Amino acid sequence: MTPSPRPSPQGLLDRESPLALELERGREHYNRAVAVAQRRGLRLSTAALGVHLCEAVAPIVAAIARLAPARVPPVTEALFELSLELVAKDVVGPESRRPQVRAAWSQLLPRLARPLALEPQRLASAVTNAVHNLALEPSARPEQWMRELGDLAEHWPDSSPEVEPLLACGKVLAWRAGMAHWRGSALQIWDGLPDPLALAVLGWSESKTGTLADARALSERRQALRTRLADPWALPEVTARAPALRIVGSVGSFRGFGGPFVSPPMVYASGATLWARDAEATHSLHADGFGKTLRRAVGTPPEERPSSLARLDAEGTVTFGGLTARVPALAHARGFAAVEHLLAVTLPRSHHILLVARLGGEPCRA
Amino acid sequence: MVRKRFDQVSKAPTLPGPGRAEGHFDVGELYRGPAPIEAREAVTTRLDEKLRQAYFWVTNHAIINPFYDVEYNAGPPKEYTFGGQGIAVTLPSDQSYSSYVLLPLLNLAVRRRCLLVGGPGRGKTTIAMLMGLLSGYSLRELRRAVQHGQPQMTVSDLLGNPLPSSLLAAKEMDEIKIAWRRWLGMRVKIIDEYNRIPTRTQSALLTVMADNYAEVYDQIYECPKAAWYLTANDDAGGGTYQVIEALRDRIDVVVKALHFNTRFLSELLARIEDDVRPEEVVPAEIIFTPAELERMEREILAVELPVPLRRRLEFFASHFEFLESSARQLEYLTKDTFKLSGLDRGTLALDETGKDALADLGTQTHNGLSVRALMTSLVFVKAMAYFRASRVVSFEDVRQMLPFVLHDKLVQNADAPWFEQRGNAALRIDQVSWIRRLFDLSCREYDRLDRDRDDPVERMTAEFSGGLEGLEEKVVRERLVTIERTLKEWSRGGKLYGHLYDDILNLKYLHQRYSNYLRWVTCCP
Repeated sequence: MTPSPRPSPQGLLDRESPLALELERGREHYNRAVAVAQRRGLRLSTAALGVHLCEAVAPIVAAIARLAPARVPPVTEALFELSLELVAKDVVGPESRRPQVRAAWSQLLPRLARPLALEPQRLASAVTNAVHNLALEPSARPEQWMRELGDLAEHWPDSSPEVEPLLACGKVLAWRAGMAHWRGSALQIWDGLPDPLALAVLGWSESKTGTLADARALSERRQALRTRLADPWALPEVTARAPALRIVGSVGSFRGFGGPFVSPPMVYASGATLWARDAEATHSLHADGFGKTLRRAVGTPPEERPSSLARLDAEGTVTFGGLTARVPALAHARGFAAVEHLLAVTLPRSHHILLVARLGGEPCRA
Repeated sequence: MVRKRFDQVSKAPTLPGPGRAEGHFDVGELYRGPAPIEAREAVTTRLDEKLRQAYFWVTNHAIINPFYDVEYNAGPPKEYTFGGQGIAVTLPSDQSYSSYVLLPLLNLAVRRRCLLVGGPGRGKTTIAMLMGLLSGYSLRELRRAVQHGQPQMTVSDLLGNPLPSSLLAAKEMDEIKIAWRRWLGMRVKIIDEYNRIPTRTQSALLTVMADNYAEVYDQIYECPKAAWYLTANDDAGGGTYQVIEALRDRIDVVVKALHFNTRFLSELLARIEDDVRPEEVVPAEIIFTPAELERMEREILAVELPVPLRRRLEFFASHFEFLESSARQLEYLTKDTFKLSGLDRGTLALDETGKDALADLGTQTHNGLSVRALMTSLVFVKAMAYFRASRVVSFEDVRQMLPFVLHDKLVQNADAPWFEQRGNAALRIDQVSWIRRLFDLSCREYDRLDRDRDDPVERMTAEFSGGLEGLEEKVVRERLVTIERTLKEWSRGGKLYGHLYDDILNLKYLHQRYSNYLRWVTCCP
């Protein structure tokens, strides 16, 4: 049976659409694929699959048909096979548990038609997994990631023979979209990108750079950006400010409200990493100008290694990064710990961890 | 597309360990998630991980084998008792395995000889073929290479024929050219129904299995090191021809093909309907190259066996060879002495020793453990640890592997009084559980004697292994006195058991070595 597309919010699949024609052409193959998927135990609803095909796959295949008609069959087959897995797992389709992933298929993948025609299975899977991972992180911004990757892909050169550079850009964009724990490895990837791409991925498109079209100017601009990026709190698009201590946000909350902690956490530092521990688990804590994340530690967390990078008294007077300031919100803190660029403070009767950073100026060295 | 269902190799670590938490993260994680990403480039996988991936592929996709008889526990398992015999059903609290897939796979990794026994249609040949496929051979190559035992099988059928032209032209034996059978040169050798091979051909097979070469008309073919898989429908070695003892002795592990669980009939149905055989769709990621197999074996042999565990194994092995009523000279007090005498077992008066026949584990066997059996045990316990991503053998690795290695090595004395005890009768039949029980009882005795902390022979052996060179006469005399005192103390206990027998022999050896040295020191000061 051909998975019969049911009426979707957008209506029936147009019988003349590229997807409908391709499904008709490979009818036996696709029918068998659905039957086998169901037989191997996948909890696959053909109704949900039909909706997903209409809503998400049809626009992608239509975009491919416009750009590279010869690639319609392999792209359809790849997306169809992937859809069987993902609809069965409720990752995409009308029962999707992550609306962001559903949006990635219906809105982002059609914008990626050009690279998608090259490696449909790989790119569609990568985008699905990336948005899924971003959606799982409370402080991340998957919509920003989708928008920025779509913008990059629309200016992707026709002649580009591979999707690898786009996927590399996606990694840097994920860091920019709030995944602070990936900062180190994202910066390494950024260092390996060609100058125009490295600037574009941080929001410096050609229209913005204007006169920076020549190679030398691009390179200089990039050097300047790299210097600024050494400071975790210096955003590339924000001009430098006078140094000051600021509460830059908070992480964590009570498990009962969807947070990670079952009891008020305590914080400690070990090496260059901050750790937060409650009665049940230990998390590493990461923060920079783009986001703040907690990652549950798998395995044995390292022991505390006390450092004297910060001082905090009962009145909330904090000394950190060569600056001293009185921050009343930090008065009567339960505990605190600091690494080079970040001070984490816990308060009695709170599951939140307040984050203090030195914004502006040169970073303090231990 | 249908093949895709068989094409899934575990991407997640198959045995995630506690490890050390890291504060550093890789943005490459961004693209890992619910959607499968096809590997674009060869991923460097650790070989133990690849071995586990192969295991899980075989158990999940190739062989319908919902059994977990190799049990590991991370904490106390849940246990339920069923039936009048009190059959314990345990739910293991750690990753556990099916011996039917695990043992053939470990055999592939250490390239030894595995016997698969069980009734017809249990998948014995299939698992052997799968092991061949995992070694990189094609199905076609393997089908041609499988040696099917049958009553008319000749030595030429097995090994090869002289080329007729060279046979006619040859003036000397060494001028005869032999067309060797191709399977002799393969890294995986499969002998189907080996107990249907005539006795004379079994002898030729023995040479290949034992010494890794084949001989026809004075011509020698040197075989590469290989993993062997033999199948038999009859565990007892019966069949059309009795299997010669030397051939049985060369088999390193014995694995039973378990029955088909009828709850999995739907899986059979799906296979019929899909018309795809797992052997035809082994994923490339789990196929080992010859170099990888070599490296894996080296890595396995490098796995450490801690001294306390080695001591437990020695203690266990020491129970079986000793037979007090077989001689008067210490060195000959063995079952081997009795066996060579050719006398009937009834002539032995076991009760004269005054020992508790229930406590003496040696009464449960007709033989002791050969050097080959002990060496194979050591190799397989290391392989088990390696499979579980450990570089050190654990107690449970030893406990789980011994029954499969010693299955055909320890000959059970079913008349032993121990089997008359309540709940033990079934162990006359269930060889695996019996050997595991023997090991447990041996460990209990080891703990009762507190051998981990109080082991004078180990201490004295360690002293001796420091070397004799430069040892002062006074020290040597002290050590001799210690040995004599120890023996005197032990002799007061009266009863002699296997473990004590080996220790006494060891002390006698040390005494002799020290005495000889002392004579030399005092003669040539």
